Amino acid sequence: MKFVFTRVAAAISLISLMLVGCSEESSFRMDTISGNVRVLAPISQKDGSYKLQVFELLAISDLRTMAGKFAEFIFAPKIVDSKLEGESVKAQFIRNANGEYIPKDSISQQLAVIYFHLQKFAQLDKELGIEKINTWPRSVGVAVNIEGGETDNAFYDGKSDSMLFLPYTGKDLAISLNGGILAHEHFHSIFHKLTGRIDTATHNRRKFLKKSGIQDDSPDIDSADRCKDQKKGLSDCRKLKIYQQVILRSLNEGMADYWAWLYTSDPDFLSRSVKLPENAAPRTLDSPDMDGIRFLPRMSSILYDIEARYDEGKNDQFDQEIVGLYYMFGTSYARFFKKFTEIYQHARDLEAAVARKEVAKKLLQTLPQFKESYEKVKWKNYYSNLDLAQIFASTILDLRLPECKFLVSEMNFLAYENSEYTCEQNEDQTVTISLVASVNPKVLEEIELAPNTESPNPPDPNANQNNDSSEVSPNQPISKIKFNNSILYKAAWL
Amino acid sequence: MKSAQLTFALFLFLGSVVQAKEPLNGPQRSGKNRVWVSPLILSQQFERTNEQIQEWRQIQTFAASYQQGSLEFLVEYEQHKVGSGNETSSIETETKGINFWLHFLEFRTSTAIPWRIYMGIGAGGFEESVTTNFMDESRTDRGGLKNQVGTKLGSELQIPFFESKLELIVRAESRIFYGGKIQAELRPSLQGSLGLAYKF
Repeated sequence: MKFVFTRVAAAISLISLMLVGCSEESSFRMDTISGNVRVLAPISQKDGSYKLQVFELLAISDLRTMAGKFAEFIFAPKIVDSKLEGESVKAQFIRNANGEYIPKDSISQQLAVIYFHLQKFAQLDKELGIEKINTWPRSVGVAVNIEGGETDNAFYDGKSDSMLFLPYTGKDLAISLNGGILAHEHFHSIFHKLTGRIDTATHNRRKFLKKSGIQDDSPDIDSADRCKDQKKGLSDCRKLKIYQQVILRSLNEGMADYWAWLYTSDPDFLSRSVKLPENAAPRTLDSPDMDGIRFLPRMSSILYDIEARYDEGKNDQFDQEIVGLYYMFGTSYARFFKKFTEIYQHARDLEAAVARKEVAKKLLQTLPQFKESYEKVKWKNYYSNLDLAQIFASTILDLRLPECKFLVSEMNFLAYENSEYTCEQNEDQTVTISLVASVNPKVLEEIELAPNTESPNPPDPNANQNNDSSEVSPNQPISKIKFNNSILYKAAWL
Repeated sequence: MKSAQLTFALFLFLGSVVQAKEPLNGPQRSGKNRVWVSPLILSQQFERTNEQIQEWRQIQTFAASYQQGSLEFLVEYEQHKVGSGNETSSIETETKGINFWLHFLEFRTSTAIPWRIYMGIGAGGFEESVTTNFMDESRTDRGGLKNQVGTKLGSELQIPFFESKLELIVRAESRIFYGGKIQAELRPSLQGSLGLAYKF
């Protein structure tokens, strides 16, 4: 009996041995899985909706940590020497009969989705000619802890050049599954680099660093603040500083929202994941259906909103209100670019995706010039969106009439009194934007007398109408009109 | 991992053969046969969670064994389900498995309530199925059969049930599994059980 039993046990052991030996599963480990890997997860579709889909992750070097050519992930990171540091994430998958990898938990699913979108962003960057702007793999922090235990957010940190995701506690589409939000954050990295790394951050980086136990000694716009001794009250200096920040950061947020729409076709990408407070300005990129609506915010409107939010002695609340302005005016920029793209698409009878990419290229050309014009006036005068509109218009060399009309309506809304932009159709069917300047001579006088006048070519109200006769003729295409807008606005403002 | 599993299974096989040819002598041999069944098992396995931390997870387990002398052959069935995500997107992973164990190298006391410790080696298989839910979509994928090997150290109290051939068995075991899961992490587990044995 004893020997029968032990032989049965030995036989079972032998069967186990054979099972182990023949097992397909025992022949691979996740940390040895590399190359292209097919994974299941919810992905944004062309119409903006989301569906479960098997997609391919390219150039994975280690599926266990989800590292590869396009991303490297750090769990609950710290920032040390401008780099994310911490433990690698351990993703968990099963492999089904079709050889597809199925995430075993939500964090693994989110990592796969982030990786997938980053590889698509790399492709999009290449198509737009900015493949050298970012370095790859992108650095991504997940389950990021920040001071105050804030959740349900994501941000881009320019100094560490990383995308950071806070834990998601909501009931809706997790932020890291939201292709629109990922595109939005990716654009921030582009904006940051194309604008020469000026301080574009909307979020409070120091809070994050403080929570991570890191002392950040690098200067930012505040420490280089020329209004340091004017902390009390809304001094002219402080107002100018806040105004310029609103311009820069609103544009950053607005263009990032545009990028999200460009990528997902979803004008309400944010609402899939985030429920904004009732008193917050709507973030949809769909414009209200109103005649005569204008998008780009006027200088007076921005200043009014800054002053209206100022309440002496409540600096923290004021700071929060100003952050709210970044998004409020950001939506205006996003709607402007989206509306223009739709006009561009119809005027040229293009596929939506083609039109978006072409306009995106113009937008990318706009940024370095915007940076230059912004830096010129940063501590001197209020930046006007007329500058931005002119720069953007100048990137479109073959302007069509509907596009021109749209731009001109915006520019006239922003322009100082007694000047008017018009569209002129040329014989070869091209269109140029012309400035019909009937500037008040007193204003011109101030321009000429301005001590920091950098442009020798203010518009000449008495110039003749011959397009070829003068470099500063108001009827020339806008790209050829060379005057320093900042001086004009200063004159007009004063 | 494959070579480790093969080595371990080979060790298990050779152990059985050696045990068959050269049974242990000495006072630790009980010389009694019994069958044992335990529907009440508390298993905890140390696994990585969605929050990226290792924590104990409760596993539903059912086990039965046949013992001859100091050698005990045990079969256990286990299953557990883990979920993560939210109302919009969630993932449930269910694991079902069966393990075969050989308990040996027994040391037994001869007190009124006998107490014994034993070592065991085992091999088994399990299958994971993942149900992915997203909005109104849902699909289930199976990961196929995976094998694992393990070793354990256990102790048990044999409480006589009046004058009958029945015994109440209280067991506590610590185990380590390796293999199977493609993460190839060593997975410790703890198990406590209350069972009933019939001696013959």
